[in-house]
Amino acid sequence: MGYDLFYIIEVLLNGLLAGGTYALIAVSMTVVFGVLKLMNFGHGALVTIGFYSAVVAVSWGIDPYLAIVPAAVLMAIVALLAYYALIDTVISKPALTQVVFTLGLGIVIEAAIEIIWTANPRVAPSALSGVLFMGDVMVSRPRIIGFVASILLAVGFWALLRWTWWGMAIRAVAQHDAAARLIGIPRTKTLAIAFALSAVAAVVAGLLIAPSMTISPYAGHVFLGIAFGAVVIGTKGNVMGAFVGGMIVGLFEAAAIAFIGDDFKEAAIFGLILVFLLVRPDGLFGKRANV
Amino acid sequence: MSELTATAGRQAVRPAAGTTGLVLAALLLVLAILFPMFVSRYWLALGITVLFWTSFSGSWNIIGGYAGQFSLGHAAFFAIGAYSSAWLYSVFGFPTLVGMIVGSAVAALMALCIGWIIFRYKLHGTYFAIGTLAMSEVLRVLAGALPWFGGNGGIPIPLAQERNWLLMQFQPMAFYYMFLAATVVIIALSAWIARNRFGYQLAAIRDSEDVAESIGISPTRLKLAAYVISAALAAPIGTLYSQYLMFVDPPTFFGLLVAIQVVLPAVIGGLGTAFGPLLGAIVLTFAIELSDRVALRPGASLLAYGAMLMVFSVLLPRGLWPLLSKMLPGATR
Repeated sequence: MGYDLFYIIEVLLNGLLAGGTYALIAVSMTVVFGVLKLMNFGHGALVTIGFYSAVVAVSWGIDPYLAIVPAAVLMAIVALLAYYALIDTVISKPALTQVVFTLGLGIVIEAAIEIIWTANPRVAPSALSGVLFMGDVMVSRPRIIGFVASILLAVGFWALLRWTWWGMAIRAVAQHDAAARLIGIPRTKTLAIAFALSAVAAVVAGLLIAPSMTISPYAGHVFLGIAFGAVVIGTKGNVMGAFVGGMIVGLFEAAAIAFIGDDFKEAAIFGLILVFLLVRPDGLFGKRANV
Repeated sequence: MSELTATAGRQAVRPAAGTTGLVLAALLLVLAILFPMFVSRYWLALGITVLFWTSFSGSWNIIGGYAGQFSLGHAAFFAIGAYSSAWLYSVFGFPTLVGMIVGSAVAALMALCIGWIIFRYKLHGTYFAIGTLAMSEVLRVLAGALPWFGGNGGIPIPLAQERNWLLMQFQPMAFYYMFLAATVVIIALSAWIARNRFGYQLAAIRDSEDVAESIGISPTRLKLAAYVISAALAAPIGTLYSQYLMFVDPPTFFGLLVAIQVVLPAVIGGLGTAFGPLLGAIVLTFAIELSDRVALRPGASLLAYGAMLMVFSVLLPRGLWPLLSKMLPGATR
């Protein structure tokens, strides 16, 4: 195929659109890392919960996009409970324990989903599904919606961290745990809220992606890898960095699809992660691995 | 400094295996040798599963447990072994045994190159885990995308016309003994490493890389050595497993699940201990088998698996072995 201009524009546009959702997932992951000092290997499963929220919504005749608010509220409650019941028990444990624990939690969530909905692939189309033509350039409409919503949410997330009391508390704990406690910030509650925010963002990201993909219980794995990549590229714990990292991964993936082929896109992403780990292990915005 | 394993495996620093320990180990070996002669095919298959995971996880344990570098890319070396022998046999007709040796060499070389880069750039902790995972995923995608290596469908291993030990197509009973041999080699090697200079140096690195360096140990070289040994051991197990299944494909040999599963017997049994992977493999295999029989729904065994990980990581972060070794009279310190 010849690489004409329209084709390249289309590819880059699609990459940018995908990058928006990746950015949202990466932002949600990096907050957990920065504040809870927890590399959440179960984060992909949270995105999968979003996928199946969309599946449930569609089976009830509700548009996936309309399910975002109720799913977010529900998830916030569940995540707060999960924090106190589960995550809090490993928060001061060695990193190995946390890795194994969060892996286990992710597997439990995915297995439970498989038990309830079976492993059969599913779709969750929205009434707004379809493609849009901008001149000769074709883009899928759910992707545009996902992009816009993700950008708004990621910016909102950032604003929340920046200007609200709890956001400041979260950043204070991330910056200096002991000092934060000295000035009277309730540590456990802050961590719980940070975790809940992260979980909600991941679930909403899942709901936003759901209409443009085929859903299965283990579909979240891909996003775990992508989010890791974006988080590493953007410096672990750095919210803006994760955002930029997500965009970079999206564009890079699209370029790989266009110029090497669809089969190789994951190899390209993981290759990019590897190169970044070696050349700039602290990401674009960091000096040393410190949050 | 390995943030991931710093506190996990200190138990294993000096397991002065006394006579009692050796006698117990010998007794266990005799039992393992006699086991297939008295059991049904079902139990034999379970035995093979246990020994397979023991040897595979034991090979990971050298880099992950003894050296304290939490690799999430070990499946790559396992798959290299499986693909080397299957590919060389099905395309060129090379005997499997030759393919197995080639696979081990390729895996060792791969570990040498990757490890040299990774350790030189001082990736450790979660960075090392993600870096090795990325490496393995790149290889998985390449194996699935290149038609030369069978693509996503993998390579079926052609059935040999006549049984020939060079081709390594055996009855289940023989596979049991092959995996048992691999297990014995790896456990013996692990026990040897733990009681030797090499093992002490690895333990020093695991506890604090900076301190180790200050007393004249070269972390890069030693970690590289452990990584190469780990990889060279994983590849033949991949060959054996592919012969047992009679096919290779990317998800079975390269998948993320395999990369995680290989870590677990060692973690649950006891990181950086010779018998940890065996203990962990026994517990995991039976837990999964049991949950499969009780629940009879796809996903149930995975659920039990995940739940076990959560429970073990919190309640027994050092694994079962330290607990058990206290009960064995004089078996370890």
